[in-house]
Amino acid sequence: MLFGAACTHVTDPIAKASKHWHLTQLSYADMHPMFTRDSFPNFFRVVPSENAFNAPRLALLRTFNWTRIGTIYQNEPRYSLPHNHLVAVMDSENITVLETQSFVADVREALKKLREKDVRIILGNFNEFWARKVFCEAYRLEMYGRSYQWLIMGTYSRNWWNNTYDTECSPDEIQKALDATILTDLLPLSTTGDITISGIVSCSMNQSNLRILTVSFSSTDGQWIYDRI
Amino acid sequence: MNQNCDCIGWNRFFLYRLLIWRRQAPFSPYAWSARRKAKKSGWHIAHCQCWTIDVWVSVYVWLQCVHVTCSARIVDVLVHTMTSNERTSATIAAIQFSISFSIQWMFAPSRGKNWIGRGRGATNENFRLNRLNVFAFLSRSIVDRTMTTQRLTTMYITFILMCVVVQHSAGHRSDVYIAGFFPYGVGVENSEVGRGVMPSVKMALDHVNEHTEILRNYRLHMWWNDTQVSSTIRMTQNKFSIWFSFGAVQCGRWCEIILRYDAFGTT
Repeated sequence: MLFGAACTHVTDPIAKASKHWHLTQLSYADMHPMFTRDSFPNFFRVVPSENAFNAPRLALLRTFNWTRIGTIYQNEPRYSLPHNHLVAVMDSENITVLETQSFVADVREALKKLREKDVRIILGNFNEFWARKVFCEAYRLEMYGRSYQWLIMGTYSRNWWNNTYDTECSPDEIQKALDATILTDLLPLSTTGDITISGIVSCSMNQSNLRILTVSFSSTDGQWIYDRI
Repeated sequence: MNQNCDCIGWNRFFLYRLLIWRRQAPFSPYAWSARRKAKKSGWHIAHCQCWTIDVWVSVYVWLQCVHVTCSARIVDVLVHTMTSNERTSATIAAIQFSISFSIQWMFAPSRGKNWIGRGRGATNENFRLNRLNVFAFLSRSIVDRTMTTQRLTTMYITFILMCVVVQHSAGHRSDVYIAGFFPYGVGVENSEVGRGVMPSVKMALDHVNEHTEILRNYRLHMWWNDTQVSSTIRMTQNKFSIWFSFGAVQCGRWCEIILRYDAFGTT
C-alpha cells in the first residue's frame, strides 16, 4: 500500500506507476481533480476533489436565488477542470453564466470584462497566490462591497491575505475587498459528536492528538488521517 | 490382488507402528523409510492393489503434513507475536513442544527393537543406511528409555491441540507494509501538512496494531521518506540544467518528473 502524497508532483507519477502493480494508494492531501475513479481505480484519498466543492456552491446559489453569475479561474487543469464541471451543472440548473474569464498572468483584464458585463455574483477558482492578486485588483476596480458577492475556494493557508509581499496592495486593502466573501473549505473535524471507530468522539480526538503533536504543525490534517487509518 | 503384495504384512506393519510397539513413537519418518527399504529388499508394493495400504499411507502423510504445518504456524506466531504479553505463554509452550518433538524424531528408535529389525527383508546393511536410525543409535545413551510411547503420544496430541489453540487464539498476523510519502523538510511546499500528518499516521498504525479487534490478523508497518516536493525538483533542475540542455543525463523517471514539473499548475 502506498500512502501519499500531498502535492500532485509526487502523487501523479506514483499513481500512474502503482496502477500497473495494482497497489492501493491513499493520498492525505491531494485534491487535484485529475484523479478520478475511472482513470485511477486504485487511488483513494481522504480529502475531496476540487470538483466536490461545486455542490455546496450550487446550493448557495439556489439558496440565495442567484441566477446570473460570472466566473473567473486560473488557467490550469487544477482549476479549469472543476470550473468546467461547475458550468456544465449550472446549465441544467437554469443558472445563467453571463461571463467566463480565465487568466494566466493578467488578472486585471479579466476582472474588467466581468465588470463590463455587470456581473455581481462572481465564482472564483484560483490558488492562494492568485487570490491575493485578484482581490488586490478587485479593490482597485472597486469590485467589492454590497454590490458584489464573491464565492471562492477556501483551501488556503491561515491568514493568507496578510502575506502581501507578492501584491501591490496592503493587507488592509485586501481585507476590505474580501469583506463578505464566501469561501468553501473542508470541515476539519466532525461536529456531529458521533463516536468514531476508535471509540472516542472527535473532540476527544482533538485533545489526544494535540498532546502528540506538541509542535503543532498541522493537527487538523493529522486528525483526518488518524480517523481514516 | 497382486501376488507380490503382502497386505496382511503391511497392515500388521502399520498397526504395529500405531498401536503395539511401545518403544517408538506412532507416526514418524521411520515408517516411510522402512517401507522404502522393504521395497528394495523384495517387497514390490508398488503394484499392490491393497486399499488398506493406501489408507495407512494417506493417514501417515496427512499426519506429517499436520506436523509440518503446525510447526510452521508456531514459528510464524513466534516471529510475530513475541511483543504481545497475552501470547507469551503460548509461545513458550510452542518452543517446548517443538524441542520435544525434535528429540522424538531424532532419537526415538533403538537398535534391535525397531520394526526393521524384526520384519522381513531388513538387514544390518540397510539399517545403517537409515540416517535417522543412525542418529538414534548414536544418541541412545542420551535419551535411553526416558521417553515412552505413551508420553510421546500424549505430547504429540497435545502438540496438535496446542497448534489449533494457538492458531485460533493468537491468529496469523500478516505483515502489511505501507510506503509513506511526506513533504517534511522545513521550507518545503506543503511541509506543514506532511509534518502534521506523519505523526498521526504513526499513532494510528500503533493503535491499530495494539487493538484487539481492528485488523487483528494484520500488523501494519510504514516506511516513509521525505519527498521534498518541488523544492528538490527546482534545485535539481537548476543544478543540472546544463547537462539537461545537452542531453547528457540519462536519469529516466526522475528526469521525467523534473521535465513535467508544474505540468498541473499546483504551485
